[in-house]
Amino acid sequence: MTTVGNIDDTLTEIIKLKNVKIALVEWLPFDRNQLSALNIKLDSLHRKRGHIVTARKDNSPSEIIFKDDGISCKVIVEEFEPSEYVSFHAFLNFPEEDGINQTEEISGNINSWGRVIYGADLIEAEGSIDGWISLDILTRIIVDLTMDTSQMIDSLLTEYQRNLLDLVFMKESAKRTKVLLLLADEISVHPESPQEFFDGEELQNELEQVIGVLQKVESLSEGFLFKGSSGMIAASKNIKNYEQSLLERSFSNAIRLFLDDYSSIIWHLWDESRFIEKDIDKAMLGDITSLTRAQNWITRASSDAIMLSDILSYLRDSITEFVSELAESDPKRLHYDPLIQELKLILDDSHITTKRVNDTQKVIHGLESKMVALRDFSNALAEKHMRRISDSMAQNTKSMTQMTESNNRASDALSIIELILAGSVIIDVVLVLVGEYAYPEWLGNLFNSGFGSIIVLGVTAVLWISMFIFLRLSKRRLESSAIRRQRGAYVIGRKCNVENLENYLTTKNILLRNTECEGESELISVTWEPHNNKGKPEISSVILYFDAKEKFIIQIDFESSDMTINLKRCYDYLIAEMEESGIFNLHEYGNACY
Amino acid sequence: MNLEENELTIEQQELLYLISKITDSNNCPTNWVKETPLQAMMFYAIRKGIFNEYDYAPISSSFLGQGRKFVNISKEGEDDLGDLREMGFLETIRLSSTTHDFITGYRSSPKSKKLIELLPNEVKERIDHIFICPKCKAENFALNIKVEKSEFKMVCNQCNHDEYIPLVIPEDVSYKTKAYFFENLDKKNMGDEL
Repeated sequence: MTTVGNIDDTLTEIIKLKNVKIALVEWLPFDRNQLSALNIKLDSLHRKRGHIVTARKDNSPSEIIFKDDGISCKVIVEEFEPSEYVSFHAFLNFPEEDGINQTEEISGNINSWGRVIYGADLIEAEGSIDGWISLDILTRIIVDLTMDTSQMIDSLLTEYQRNLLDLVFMKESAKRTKVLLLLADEISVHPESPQEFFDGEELQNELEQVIGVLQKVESLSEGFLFKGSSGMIAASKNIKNYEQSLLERSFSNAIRLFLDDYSSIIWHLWDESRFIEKDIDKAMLGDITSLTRAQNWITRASSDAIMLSDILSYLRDSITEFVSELAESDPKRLHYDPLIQELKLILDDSHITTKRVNDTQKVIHGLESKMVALRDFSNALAEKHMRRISDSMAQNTKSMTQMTESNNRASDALSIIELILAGSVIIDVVLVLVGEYAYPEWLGNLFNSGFGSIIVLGVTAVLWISMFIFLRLSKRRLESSAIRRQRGAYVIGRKCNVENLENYLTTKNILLRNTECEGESELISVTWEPHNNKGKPEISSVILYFDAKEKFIIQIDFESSDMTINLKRCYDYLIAEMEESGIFNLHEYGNACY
Repeated sequence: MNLEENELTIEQQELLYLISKITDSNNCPTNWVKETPLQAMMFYAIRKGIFNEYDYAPISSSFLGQGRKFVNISKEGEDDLGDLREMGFLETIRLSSTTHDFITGYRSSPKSKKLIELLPNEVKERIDHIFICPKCKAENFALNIKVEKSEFKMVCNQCNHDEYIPLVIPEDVSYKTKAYFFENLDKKNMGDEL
């Protein structure tokens, strides 16, 4: 039992390896253009100098200074062919916790068909003695290297490649796993038969901790080869002899591992499409928010399906290149290499992988067809909604025109009345001044003078016009104060308990209730004036739209003459009031165990 | 039925009692505990010194429908879950989740009821202890999960004291590596270049 690093537990170390080399193998979507871009990014022509690399972009071209993210990773190119491969030496320097000291230098080899291999020679580790290190400690080192190499390589990939990985690994590509190959000179446990490692207890548990489910254990010269679901461990004095075949097998496994995640994302998309069908059903009932959600999903899923097809093309090309490389390897090897069976297995694996890719292609085609159908359906539904809105608007426009005409006629009549009223008021004023049917003496004298009667008539006309203007201005002022109000319209889109809703409405001062029946729906709009008590938002009128047959509240509109009021607060108040009345209570709870 | 006959290790007894306690198997025989919360509880218990023979290691695994994460899992614990199933003391159920993957549920079987009653008091007390709030000592210390943040906590429902469980945070060790270039890769590529 030992305590190591910041591990909050004592480790039971059973199996140890000596002089460990770690290879992490993965498949990434690459082609020759992507690799060429990588060599340009690495400035491979000036290979010996090396660069610190980052995934950051220059988003402020006019700025002179930029800051990095405090994480440095230096890459020095060792060998390269612009569009074929690059081999580099990387120095990883990521933040560490207190008391932890890590020096990570690794090799990297990336070729044009996406074979990515990182290599590290473990020269020192906490708890290791004379090059011996336990699998318990190795697990932690491997996880650390796996995550750090992902972070390093992500800073070298194009935005497009990162998007592809984010899609397959559900935005967790930094934590994607890689196929592990551990090469060691010796192993501390030497049972008589390799099968004894399948003890179902300590030995098997320790091995499975590192390489996943233990599938096979074989004897190597003075050692063993352990094959697991996510990696292999090979321990032998002649480990160099096995490197090539094990790397080939690991790459085959890396493609398989990627395909597992790739397949799960396809089924994920497929399952999601079923939920979207439900959203479309809801939209048919009038919940416009569901339609928006469905259309957003279809847009995103269509883009995802295109990217999945792209990944598949990369995978196919990669497998083709891999198989041809295996076939073109030294023909003599076929005769003398003891690992020939292994090579045949790898070739067989490649064929199986190709078949899986073909099967996946069928699923993607199915998904694409389904999405086309869903898109057509949702478009038809959107058109139906648009037509309904358009009909409704045409009806409203017609009503508005009729109202405007009627208003104009009323306004004209009012103007005439204003004119007559102004005249009668002025006549009354004149009569008050001059006395009814009698002229004061001064006015009689004025009338008898040359222009007297014209002056009186002129003064009367001026007063008449002034009174008319005064009345018109007063009317406009009254009109403007009458139209000062705020209106809010909120889509609710929730199932409701109609019985409770009707009970709720009986407590209201209902002004208007409209019912429209069409097919399976019974659309009802109810207008009421809320009681504006102290402490409640000042709402002058509310209109609620709901479908009584589908038990579905569609929308709520309301008005307030208070121009300073927060409409969202009014909406929240109305919803809270409805919730309190049990309008949204749909279930009856049983006596289940919680 | 007795413990000797069934040859349960101390850890297997603790694990069986833990599952029975979480699912409240006496009162609610229809309850199941999901695999990930159970792993979180086992991880928490190991760090508290229970399950003496278990250790844990970060293992890449599909996590709560949120893609892959490195989860601190006890292989010995997983192995004992399998053993208890084989002995008929645990039952499992598979169900699909809303996040489109499958999860396993565990509960103690009717066969284990008598056995759980016979478990030594010290085993029960050790497990009971992890459900006692270290601050207010109330027996209300329960696992709380926020899936979207992948956050696991033990929270006291009485005084709100909480303890974070770093289930998806691998622990670090110090080490030093140098770059290792595979000869066959270099030769092959250099051959192409020449």
